Amino acid sequence: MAHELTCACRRRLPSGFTLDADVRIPFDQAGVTVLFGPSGSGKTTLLRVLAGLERPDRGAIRFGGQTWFDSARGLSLTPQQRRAGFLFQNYALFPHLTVERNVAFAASQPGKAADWLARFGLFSLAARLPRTLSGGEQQRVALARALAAGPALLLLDEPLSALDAATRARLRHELRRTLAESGIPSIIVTHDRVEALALGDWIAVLIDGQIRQCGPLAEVFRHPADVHVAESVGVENVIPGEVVARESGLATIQAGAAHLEAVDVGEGGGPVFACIRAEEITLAPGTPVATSARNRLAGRIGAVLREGALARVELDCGFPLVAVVTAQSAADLRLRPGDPVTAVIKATSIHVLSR
Amino acid sequence: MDWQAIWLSLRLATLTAAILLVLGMPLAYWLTYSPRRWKFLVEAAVALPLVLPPTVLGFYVLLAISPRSPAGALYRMLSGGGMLPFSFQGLVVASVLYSFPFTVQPMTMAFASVDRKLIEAAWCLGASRLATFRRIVVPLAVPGIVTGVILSFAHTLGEFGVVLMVGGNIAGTTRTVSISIYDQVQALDYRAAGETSLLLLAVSFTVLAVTYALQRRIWAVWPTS
Repeated sequence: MAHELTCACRRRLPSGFTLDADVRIPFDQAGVTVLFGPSGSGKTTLLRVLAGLERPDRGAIRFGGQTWFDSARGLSLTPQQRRAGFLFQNYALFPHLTVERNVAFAASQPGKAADWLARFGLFSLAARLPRTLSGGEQQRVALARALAAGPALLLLDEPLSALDAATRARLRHELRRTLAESGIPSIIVTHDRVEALALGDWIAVLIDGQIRQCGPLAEVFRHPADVHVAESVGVENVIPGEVVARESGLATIQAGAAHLEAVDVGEGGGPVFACIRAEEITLAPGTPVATSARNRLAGRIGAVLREGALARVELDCGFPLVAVVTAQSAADLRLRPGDPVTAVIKATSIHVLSR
Repeated sequence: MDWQAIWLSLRLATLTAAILLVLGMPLAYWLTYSPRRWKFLVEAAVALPLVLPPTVLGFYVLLAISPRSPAGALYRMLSGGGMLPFSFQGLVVASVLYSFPFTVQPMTMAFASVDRKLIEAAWCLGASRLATFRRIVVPLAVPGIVTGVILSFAHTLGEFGVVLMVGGNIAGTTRTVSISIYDQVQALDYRAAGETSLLLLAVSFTVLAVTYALQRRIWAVWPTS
């Protein structure tokens, strides 16, 4: 595996908090991995441990065939040796250096800095000091600077949290595109579900200092490993699709063979995630009949799992779908694996996130 | 006015400040960033001249640099028979020790006020520790470094007790401006003493005023946040 990160390490902080992270990220499939978890779950600490800014008490970290840390062998590479770019939450631009010199600080050859300024549209800001820049501009400079150093792995600590809401929404897509174009394996820390969905290919869920689950984004949302992961991710259905039409306030999304209609949020076209909470899906037996709901999807029941008073129904509608109904309803409808069923979803229940 | 003594004090103060700049920066850096638990002992030792009577410090320095001490013997060997007590070189040694806290403390404070994240950012961009210190920490700590150098200069310019213990009162070699003033008062030459004192007062005030003015400007150009 050319670009695989394995980390199994423990670090106890003076506060008593213990990070006990065990995770494997194959970046060949997981280009951009979101490190997701509630505040105080240890996300930033794990990122600092990976960068070499903090030393685990024990364990091992390997990346791309190179050992970065191994307590058994007393080995710990410095941040300089790891070549892991780190984007700080407040960007940590050098306040006494202009934009150009901030970027040139990282660039291997002096001429390269100009290339990076051009690529990030920073030429007009080249002579400015960081404090005269807006939050969004600072983020761009920080990203250009991090990439100019030619990192093997890019670590981003809540890269959008220092921005106001409007800028954040705008830069989400810009950031996603930049990371995808750079092709550099990236780990983005966030506690924001929307951000996780908009930015990641893979997701690693960190709760109370432990990685509870790590896998492809949609899969983790659909099959949370445990109740804590389910609570923190919140949305069960994350369906990759494509906006194929938009008309009178509704967007039509092609997902597999099916079409979904959602309230149009006007966030560009192209690839999207359609996000649907499992309890927002109504089930009707048999084939579709007309109701006021915009989406009636024919499918087949895969499994019915009782969870206390509720039943979790896994469907195949051309794409996997999870619905939660009361156990009573499941019994009344005689939902059994293999039966045909119709999933009814209101257009307002589908949350569209463009990618 | 005793121009010879004034010139000697200026030379002593400049040399002391220059030496302290070179010695003080690495020590201040170490004191700021070292994780060693026992560094408080070094901090206390550096701060000693702030509370120790100059005569006591001078006495120990005199013992330490006497020709029979290891340091004195080494100096004698290296300089081909020279002696540190009652010499200008001896005064420099004593002044450096005496002004150490005046250089190291402002520098330590300045280094500590540099945002740790900036240093870590430089490391993650591949800059070595030395390059990070040179290109990030020092430029951002310039006001503190300048303060440290100026304070040690001004402090050395007016020193009396340590100089008297270590250097005595040899015109052109160890008679500093403050000793000259003392001599003038002893000789009841109040006019000369008044003139020299006024000069020292004016120089000290000007140096400090320029320092603080410069600092304001530097802060205004390079804010830390």
